Amino acid sequence: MNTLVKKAQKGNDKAFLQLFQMYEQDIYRIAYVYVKNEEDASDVLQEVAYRSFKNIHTVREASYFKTWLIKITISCAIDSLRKNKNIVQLNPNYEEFLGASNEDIPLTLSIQELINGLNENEKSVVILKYYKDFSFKDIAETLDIPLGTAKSVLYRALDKLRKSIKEVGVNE
Amino acid sequence: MNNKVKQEMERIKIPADIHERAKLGVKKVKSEQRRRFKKPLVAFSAAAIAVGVLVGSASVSPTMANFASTIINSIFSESGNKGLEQVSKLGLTDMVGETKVAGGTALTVTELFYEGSKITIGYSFETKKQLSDDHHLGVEIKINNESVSYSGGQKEQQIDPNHRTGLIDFELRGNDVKDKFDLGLAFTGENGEKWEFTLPVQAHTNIKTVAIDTKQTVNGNNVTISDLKISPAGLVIAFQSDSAIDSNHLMSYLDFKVVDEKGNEIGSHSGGTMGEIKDGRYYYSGNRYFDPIGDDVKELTITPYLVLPTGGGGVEIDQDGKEKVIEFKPIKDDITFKTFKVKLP
Repeated sequence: MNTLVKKAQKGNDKAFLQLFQMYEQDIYRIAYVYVKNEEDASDVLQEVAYRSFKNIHTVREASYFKTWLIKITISCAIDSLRKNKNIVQLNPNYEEFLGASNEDIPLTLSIQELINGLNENEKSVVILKYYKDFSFKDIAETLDIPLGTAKSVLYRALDKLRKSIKEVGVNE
Repeated sequence: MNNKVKQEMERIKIPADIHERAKLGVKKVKSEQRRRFKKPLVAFSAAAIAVGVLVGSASVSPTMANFASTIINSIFSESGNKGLEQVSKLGLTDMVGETKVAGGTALTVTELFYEGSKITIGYSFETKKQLSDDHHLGVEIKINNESVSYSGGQKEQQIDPNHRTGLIDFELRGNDVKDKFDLGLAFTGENGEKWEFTLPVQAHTNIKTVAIDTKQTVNGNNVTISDLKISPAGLVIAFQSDSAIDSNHLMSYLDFKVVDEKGNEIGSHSGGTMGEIKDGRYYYSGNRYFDPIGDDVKELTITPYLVLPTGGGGVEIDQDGKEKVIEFKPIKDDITFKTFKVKLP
């Protein structure tokens, strides 16, 4: 990994693509959750490859590469959404704890609820926490938000998912 | 229970072509790197070197700002780029002379020029430690504190082992092209040092635009040359092109030969190309930059042509780090476009 990052930083595109290939499925899936269709998710993946190869010289340590790539993915996906509509930005000063700090995911959660039931900020925190196993500290650093905000956004997201699942259950 | 998210995420089907899409992203960077500064800037002259020695003797300190006025103009006016030399000589450049110090290195943004959609910035940086040959200075750009889409290039010149000067130029796109804005420049050193600047920028509007709207189709490849812009900084030809998905990115290699009525070829400085895939075709748009022309020039003869790569190749690295050289395979599909003439106002 270290060698590949160094080679990529010197402009070796084959080394970069070998690195990128390790994460491209994750990148596509994360992008898909935001943009909700194959075509835009593929466009986001291409843009992530472009931005990350262009800026790989800014990666200080190989161990940061994965986190850095995911940060670019979220940024590209939100940029893609921004082209079509206004999205709500996470306010770094906004800290409000909603509901109990229960981190359990509802057992009946579906991908559609993840895609359609959460706003972009909530998706970012849920994906980083449960798909990429980031700590709250890493989430806060990746999204440039205070740690408390990361927690409050997660609890709010989980609360929404639970309510959404209950409502579906009642309607059924 | 937390891996329920993982299980659901893994239900998202992965298209077969995602690695090809990743390659396209990488190719775009390589293509920009080839296009930008395909003609290396001429080494800066003795005047710039003399200034470098002078600044070096003053050591790195906030007093760098005092020396900035002595090096302003030297970077543009000694760049070997006739357009930059001319705008510098005419006093059209914005003098900046702002210095920031981080990690023992002083970085001075010396001058700036913004016209059309293109911004060019001159900078100088000097460090106490000797710079390695592969030292790289990263640059991030923001407009009114927002990230923007742009294509651009960066070129540095070593003045001495502790001092380099450089030029950055980049083209803004679409709605990011504004007459007036705050330009955020964040330079990043190899050890994470940051030199951040916020510079008010206003466009120079001394541009004449000549509509062209010439369209050509050759072997299924389309090109539209929409207009020609003329200013003291030089000529800009704007084009759109498209080609089949299996065309080896032929139309991304588009360039133009420009000759005045006396037979003098106008020097070319390449330019940026943006591409996208739509309906199974590659679509490109871009600008090509040329030296300024005299007021006496009344007609230009323009010939589109392809600048196909003549070398390259790469290295394939396997999981064990073993390297295999990939030989360069030349593109043989060169095509010929028609020459056309443009009357100037």
